[in-house]
Amino acid sequence: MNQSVETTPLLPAVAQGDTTAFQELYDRHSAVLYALLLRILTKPEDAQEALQETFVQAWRSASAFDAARGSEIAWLVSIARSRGIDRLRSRRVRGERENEAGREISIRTGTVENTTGADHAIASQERVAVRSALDELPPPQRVALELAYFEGLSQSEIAARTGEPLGTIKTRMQLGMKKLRERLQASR
Amino acid sequence: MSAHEDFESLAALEAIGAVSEDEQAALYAHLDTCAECNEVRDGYQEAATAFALALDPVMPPEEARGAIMGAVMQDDFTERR
Repeated sequence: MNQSVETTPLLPAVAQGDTTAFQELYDRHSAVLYALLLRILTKPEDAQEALQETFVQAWRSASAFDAARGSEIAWLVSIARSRGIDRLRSRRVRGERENEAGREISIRTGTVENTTGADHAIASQERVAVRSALDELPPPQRVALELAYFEGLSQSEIAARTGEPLGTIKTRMQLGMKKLRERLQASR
Repeated sequence: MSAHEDFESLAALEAIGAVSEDEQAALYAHLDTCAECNEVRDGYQEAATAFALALDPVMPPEEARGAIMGAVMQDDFTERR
C-alpha cells in the first residue's frame, strides 16, 4: 500500500459500489487526509469525525471524479479540506477557543506503518518535491496562502491578522498560487 | 486585464478557499462557458493539494477504518449521486 502516490485511480471502481476498491482507497490515502485534518482541526477526535465524513462523501459521489481533470488525491484532499474547514468554522461559531499555540505545531510525529519500503520512498519523494515548491515561495506569500488553506480565513481576515492592506494580501496570494502552480507543473 | 486574466486570478484564490460567495458564483458562471479557464482552474486545484501533500502523513487511529467501513457498508446505495 502506498500513500497518495498516483497509480491507477480507484474511484471509478468505488463508483460502481466496489467495497474492496474503497478499502484500498482508504489504505492508500487516509494518512495524508488525516494529517491534513489534524493540521486544520488539531483535535484528533474532530479530525477522525471529519475523516469519516470525507470518506462517506467520497463513497457517495465517486462518480463525480473525472481523472481527466485532476488526480484522485487532489479530489479527496479537496473534500477533506472542505469538511475540515466547515467543522472549524462551526466550532468558531460556537465560540470555542482556538488553541493558537497548538495550531502552530506541525504534525511531524506520525508514522506510516503500513506502507512498503519502496512505496514509502516514492511517497517521500513526492513530499520532497511539493515541499521544495512551497519553500520557493516568499514567506509572506506562503503565510497568506496557509492562513486561507488551513484556517479558512478570508482575504479580509488575513489582512487583519497580518496588518497588511487587503489589496496587498490579494496580490500576494494570487502571485503565490501562480508560482506554485507553475513550479509544480514544471516538476511533473 | 482581460476577462480571462480576471477569472484566472479568481481561480487561483478559489483553489485555497479564499473567494467570497459572489466571486465564486461569478467564477462558476464563467467556467460553465470557458474550457480554457476550466483547465487553468483544474491546475490551481491540483497545486493547492501541495499544502496537504507537504505534511508528514499520520496514520488515523485503528478504530477509524472499521467505523468508516461500517458506515459505508450500511449506506443506502440509492443515496449515491
